[in-house]
Amino acid sequence: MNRKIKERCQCIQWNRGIVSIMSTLIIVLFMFSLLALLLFYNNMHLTSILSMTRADAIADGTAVYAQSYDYAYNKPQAEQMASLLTMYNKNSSPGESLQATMTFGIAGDTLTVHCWTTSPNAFQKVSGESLTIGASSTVRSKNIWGDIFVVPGEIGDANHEIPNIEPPPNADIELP
Amino acid sequence: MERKLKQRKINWKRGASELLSLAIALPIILMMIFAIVNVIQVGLVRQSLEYTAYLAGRSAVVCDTYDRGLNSAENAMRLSLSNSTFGIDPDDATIRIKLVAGTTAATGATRPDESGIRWEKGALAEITISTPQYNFMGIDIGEMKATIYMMVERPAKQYYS
Repeated sequence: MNRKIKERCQCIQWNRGIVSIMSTLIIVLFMFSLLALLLFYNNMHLTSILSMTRADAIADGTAVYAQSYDYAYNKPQAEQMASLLTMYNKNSSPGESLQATMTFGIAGDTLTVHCWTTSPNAFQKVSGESLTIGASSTVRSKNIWGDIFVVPGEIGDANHEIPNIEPPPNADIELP
Repeated sequence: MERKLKQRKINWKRGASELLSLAIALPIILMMIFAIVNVIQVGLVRQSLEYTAYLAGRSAVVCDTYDRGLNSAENAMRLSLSNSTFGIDPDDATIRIKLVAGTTAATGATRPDESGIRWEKGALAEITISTPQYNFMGIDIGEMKATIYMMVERPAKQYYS
C-alpha cells in the first residue's frame, strides 16, 4: 500500500504545482495586508467614536449641571462635574484611556470640552506607538426666555453654591 | 462521442500536483476570507454599540424618573440597533442603567434594588448595553458590551426644595 502511494507520488510532477502555491502565497499576503488595514481602520474609527461620544457626554452633563441663573456657566461647578464624568468614563471601555480638558468662552456662556482617547494600536508591539484621537464638543448657554421668566435672586444664590461630592456606598471608583 | 474522446485524452496525473496544492491553499484562503469578514463585523458591531450606548443614555438622562428613563433608553437602543448593523438581533440586546455616584446627598432610592442614589440632576448613571453576537455563519461568538457614564439632567430637585 505504502509502496503504491510512494510510486504515485513519484509520478506527480511537483514543479507544475509551484505556480498554484506561489499565487496562493501572493493572495494570502494581499489578504493579510488587507486584514491589517481593516484592523487599523476599525481601531481608529472606534477610538474616534469613543472620543466624540465622551466629549458630548461630558460637555452636556457639565453644561446642564453648571448653568447659572444668569445664563453663564459656574466654573467651579463645571470643573467639578467635568472631572467626575471624566474619571468615571475613563474606565468605561477596557483598554482605552481618556483625558479631557475644558475651556470657557470669554463671556462665560460657552464651554468647550476636548477629549483624547488613547487605545492600544493593533501593531503596538511592532511600532511601539499607541493611537490617540481627539474630539471636542462646544455648548452655549442662551437666554431663550427674555423677560418672560426671571429667576428670583435667592434661587440664583443657591445655584452658585458648590455641593460636596459624596461618594456612594457602592462606588467602585475612589472620588478625589 | 467526440466529447467522450476528449475526456479520455486528459492526463489526470499531470494535474495532480495542481489539485493537491489547491487543496492545501483553499483552506488558507477561506480562513483569511473568514477572518476579514469577522474583523469587519466585530468592528461594525463594536462601533454601533458604543454609539447606541450614547444615544440610549442621552434619551434616558433627560427623563424625570428612572423607569421612564429606562423605557426611553430601551426604545432608543432597539431603534438604533435595528438599522445599523448585522450579526446582532435588537431583540436580544439588553440595557442596564445604574446610578453609581452623585453630587447630591443619597438620602433615598427611587428603586429599592438600585444603589440608593436619587434619580435627580447631578447623579451619575452607568448605561450598559450588552448583546450576544453571531458571525455570518450563525455561530455565537460571545457577548459584546458598551458602557458610558452620563449625568442625570432631570429633575433639579435640590433647587426647588
